[in-house]
Amino acid sequence: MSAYEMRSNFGPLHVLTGNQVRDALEDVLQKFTVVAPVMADNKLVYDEVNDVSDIVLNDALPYKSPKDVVFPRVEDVMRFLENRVEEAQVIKPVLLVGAKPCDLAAMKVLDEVFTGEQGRYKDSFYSNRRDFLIIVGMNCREKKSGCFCEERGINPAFSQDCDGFLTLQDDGAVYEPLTEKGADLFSGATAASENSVSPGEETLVLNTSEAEVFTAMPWEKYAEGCIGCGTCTFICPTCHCFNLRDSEKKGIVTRTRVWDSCMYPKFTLHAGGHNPRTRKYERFRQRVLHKYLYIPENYGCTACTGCGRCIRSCPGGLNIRNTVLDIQRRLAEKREVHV
Amino acid sequence: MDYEMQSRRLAEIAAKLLEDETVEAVLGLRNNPEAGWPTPYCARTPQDAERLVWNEACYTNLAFYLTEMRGKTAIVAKPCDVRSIINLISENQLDRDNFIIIGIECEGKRKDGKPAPGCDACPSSIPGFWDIAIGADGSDTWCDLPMAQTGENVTQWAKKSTVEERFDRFLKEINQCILCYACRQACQGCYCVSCFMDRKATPWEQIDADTGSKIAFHLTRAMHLAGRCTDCGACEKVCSSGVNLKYIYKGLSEFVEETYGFKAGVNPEATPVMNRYEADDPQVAFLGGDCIVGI
Repeated sequence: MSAYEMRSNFGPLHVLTGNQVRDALEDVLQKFTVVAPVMADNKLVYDEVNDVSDIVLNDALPYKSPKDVVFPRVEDVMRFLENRVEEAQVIKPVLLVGAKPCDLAAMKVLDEVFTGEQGRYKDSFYSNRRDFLIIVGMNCREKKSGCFCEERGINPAFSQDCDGFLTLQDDGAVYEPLTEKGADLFSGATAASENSVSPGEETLVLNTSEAEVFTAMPWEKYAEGCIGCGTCTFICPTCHCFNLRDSEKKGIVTRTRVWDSCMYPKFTLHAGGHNPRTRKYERFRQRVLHKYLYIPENYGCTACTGCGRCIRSCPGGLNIRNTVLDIQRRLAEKREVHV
Repeated sequence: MDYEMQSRRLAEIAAKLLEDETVEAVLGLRNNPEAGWPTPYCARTPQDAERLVWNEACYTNLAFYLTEMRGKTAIVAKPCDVRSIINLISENQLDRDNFIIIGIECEGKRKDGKPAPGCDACPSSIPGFWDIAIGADGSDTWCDLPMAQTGENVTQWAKKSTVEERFDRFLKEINQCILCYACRQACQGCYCVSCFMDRKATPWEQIDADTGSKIAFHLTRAMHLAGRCTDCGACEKVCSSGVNLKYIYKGLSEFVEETYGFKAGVNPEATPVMNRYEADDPQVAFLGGDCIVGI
């Protein structure tokens, strides 16, 4: 099925003026909990919106990713009472507006890991939230320093990994419904669907095996600047490692799911005291290979979307793109020698 | 400031040190357009040395990296880096024979168009000690530039304000904190192999980044830094949530200086204030004392 046919199933394009976009947002705000880009402490972040005027619909990529809409940083999952156990997850329908194509691609990776057909385990806490989430994507025209989505095969102008896509124009926007959930969210003057959009080619990939890169690459050099702060994993749209922790308050034990980070030494600390990843280069190697080798092996997609957030916020100047490029170069050299 | 001359001389010095094999590596900063500011760089060949830069955005404190280096290293150090190095030497974390300090004159760095955290209170443009000097004009003599010193007087503020005001300010600052510990990681003074926050099965260990855990972390870290903070501002520079708690460490440092006559990062030979005890030490900092420092 071509992209054009898929899109035509859910109605024509809607051309909206600036005021119509505002009105439509007012309207959805009555019906849903809306998460959209807003300013907080001089930084653009995805957050819950109370007032339409707070929503910042522009080309800027928010500082943090929207993953906590489906995978909150801290979430109570169950409670152990005196003689019974109860679920503690609280879910409400959420409309995520203004997610950029890179963040939409990341959501697809999370779907793959937590609910996908190839995923061996279906994570109910994630899928409970995912089922009640409607996503409206938005185009991105700003290439920030460190952005490399195009090398990862992502088209910043359009993405189908959402329920509807809003293309901002100089005045107003064009809305394309892509699924049934997104069919009636925004309406304006209708127009026929335009040319179909082809996804780009993924050039930044690792076609290799663990054995070929695990010890042969200068990991120590790549990770030299790392200070182990874990910022990269917290702002990454695809990082999804978590920990389950029990805490007791007044006789009630609550099990909480919290984000964890492979960049912390404690991440792999065994109960007996042994730690297989004591050095920072071992932890950085895990982060790079998890994104570019292990997830592709297990789920068939690369878990890096080229949003560049980790590159822009790393205090030590680590750069996952340059690392992968360097590995590609070294592998190519090695293969040439063998030929 | 003549950053161009300073950069040029820095590259020359670094190239020579590496060429003569006086050192195995030169720790400095390089341009990083992707990150948007100069980031830490370790030059290992004379060719690498050309990438070292020095400009008004070179605010990263490199002292922490020195503790991880193997082999003889030269470090590009501005006054706050040198204060941190002195503190680490006095605490036996660095061997003075293992590194060379390329002291570099600095009148304060800028981050996001504003003076970088710590720079508004920096006392001098000249590093406390050095092996090779790069002055403000790129020569080997210091210019001793006038410093802005517009930083907040924390002690004065703390003494004028009420307990509630001080606590409110603290709560307001930690509100955005997500307990990522970047401040701890970037701090020269936080080198514990196992931080109290990371120990298993303790009641203060983080489960939720709730106010209680945040108070426990930040206040304990502050107490651990009393008389050890060198006011370099690394904690605020790396914070991705914009938490500004340096005033507490600064208040504590001022209190320690006033009470015990000790200032961290001045004399590498001095015994750290927490390592010594005199029978007639003032009692104000003990339980029941009336010390007021920021909170």
